[in-house]
Amino acid sequence: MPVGTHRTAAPWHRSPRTRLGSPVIIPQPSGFHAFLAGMHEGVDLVFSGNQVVVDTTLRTLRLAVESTLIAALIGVPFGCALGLGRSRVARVLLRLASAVTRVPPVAIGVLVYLLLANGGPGYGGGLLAGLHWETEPQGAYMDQTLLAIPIIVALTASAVKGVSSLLLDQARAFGASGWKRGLLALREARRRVIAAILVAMGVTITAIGAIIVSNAPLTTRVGDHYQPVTLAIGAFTTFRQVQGSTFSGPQTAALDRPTPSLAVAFTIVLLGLFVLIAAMLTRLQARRLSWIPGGQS
Amino acid sequence: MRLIFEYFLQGVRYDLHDPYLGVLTITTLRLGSEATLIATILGLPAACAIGLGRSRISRRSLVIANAGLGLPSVAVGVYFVLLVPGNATAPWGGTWINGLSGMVAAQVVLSLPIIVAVSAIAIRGLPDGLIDQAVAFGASGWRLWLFALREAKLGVITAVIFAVGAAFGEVGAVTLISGISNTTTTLASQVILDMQGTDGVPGAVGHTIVLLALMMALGLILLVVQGSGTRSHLRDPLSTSPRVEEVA
Repeated sequence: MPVGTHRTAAPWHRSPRTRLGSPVIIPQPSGFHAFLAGMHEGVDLVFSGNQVVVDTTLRTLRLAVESTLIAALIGVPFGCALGLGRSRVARVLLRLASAVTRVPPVAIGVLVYLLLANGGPGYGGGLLAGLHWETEPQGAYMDQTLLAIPIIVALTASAVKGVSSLLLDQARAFGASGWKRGLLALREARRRVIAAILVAMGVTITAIGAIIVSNAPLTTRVGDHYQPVTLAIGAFTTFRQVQGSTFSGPQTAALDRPTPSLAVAFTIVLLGLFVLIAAMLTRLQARRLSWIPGGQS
Repeated sequence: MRLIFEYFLQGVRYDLHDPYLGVLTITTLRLGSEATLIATILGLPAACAIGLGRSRISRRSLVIANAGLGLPSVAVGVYFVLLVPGNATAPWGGTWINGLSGMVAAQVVLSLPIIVAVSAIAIRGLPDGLIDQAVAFGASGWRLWLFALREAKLGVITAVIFAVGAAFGEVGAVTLISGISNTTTTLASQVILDMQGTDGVPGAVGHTIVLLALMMALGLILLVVQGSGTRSHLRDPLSTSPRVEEVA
């Protein structure tokens, strides 16, 4: 369906005020009926394959997968080393990693902003200002990667700690080097390591605080209209823009105008992804796995 | 580095002259404490039932609670605002939407899985003999639950502190429900407002510093509690209860 075909014909697109300035009272469904109507519209948007919803879902998955992969590349070896290490330094660093897990995303966002900022008069830019990512989408990737790293480090370390020390001692007796022992421990604990990565991916999908606070753009230009960068950001910003208005309007208009049904559609997909990850975690039987979202937003 | 240092100084300076800092901090503390209190009252019985139960249902519930830790807070906020009519008054005063009551109620939903999952895992980690012994001595029902909670108190305290920390840093649901006013803005949501306009970066950095200070205070409490717990753990070499670090 062409984008925005019915836009001018949309009844709700009219100004709510007449030329005389008196408000037009349009009878609206209220309360629970409005909620059900909006849910219906949202479900329709999802299952009719609305372009905005599909695109945003793909963009969210891309952001989540890529930033989680980068975080895993950094975090898994680091967590493995910390989990196997018996020195005092390793223990302190591990404590630190699990403490950083609970740093709220908005604080991560401020940190990323300060790292990427071009700087003000009188003092130079941030440490990474040379990347020129201050207002680029790469900032969002950095946000989510920084959110995911401590989670992966802490959970990988606790997974590796669960590997029987007897096995590792045996490997050492057979002359396995540190690298080899680390790989062995990772292979033994692979289920819980994969669970750790999945948990981190859940956070990178749902967290919004860091992206909003750091200067990363919240929308991205697709063709002739703008779309939110992730589902969660979309639900958040769309819903804030339309708060107070009731559900109405045709589906196609959702492409370039915020409607509550679009926000509902975003949250439906978001909850679907959440259920998917939870199901995968359950399949991995990560029953002992407990994690704390770093503020979870 | 210079920039970070400069903005840090500006943030501290901003905090020293911010007339709303007290209100923001008190709102944050109220949100954290009230939500956690309600979630604890609701969650601990569930945690006991799940932790002590050996049936398939209790195992399933633990898996669900564990999964619930990843609940997208934005979705909670959206459905909360849609489902709760704006002018309804909360049972403990105030309005649901654009008020602290609604924020607390949504945060309860987000905190409940934390309390249930972490406490239930701690109770599950208690040595089997301990619970069996208590049952043999005639403990049952709420007495058994109280006993299990007392034995697993380290895990319960950890759960409570985690829940408070999650409430402090929460922005998704809280910002959607609270309007923009000084009495419903928490430190975390104020950081977003700062960056989006009025106060700019110094304000955001300043409020982040206070937020991180609160989180550090929580971490310190956790450290002290765990330290005392480990010592008592060492005193009793026969006990095989898991250390809290493993639970958390």
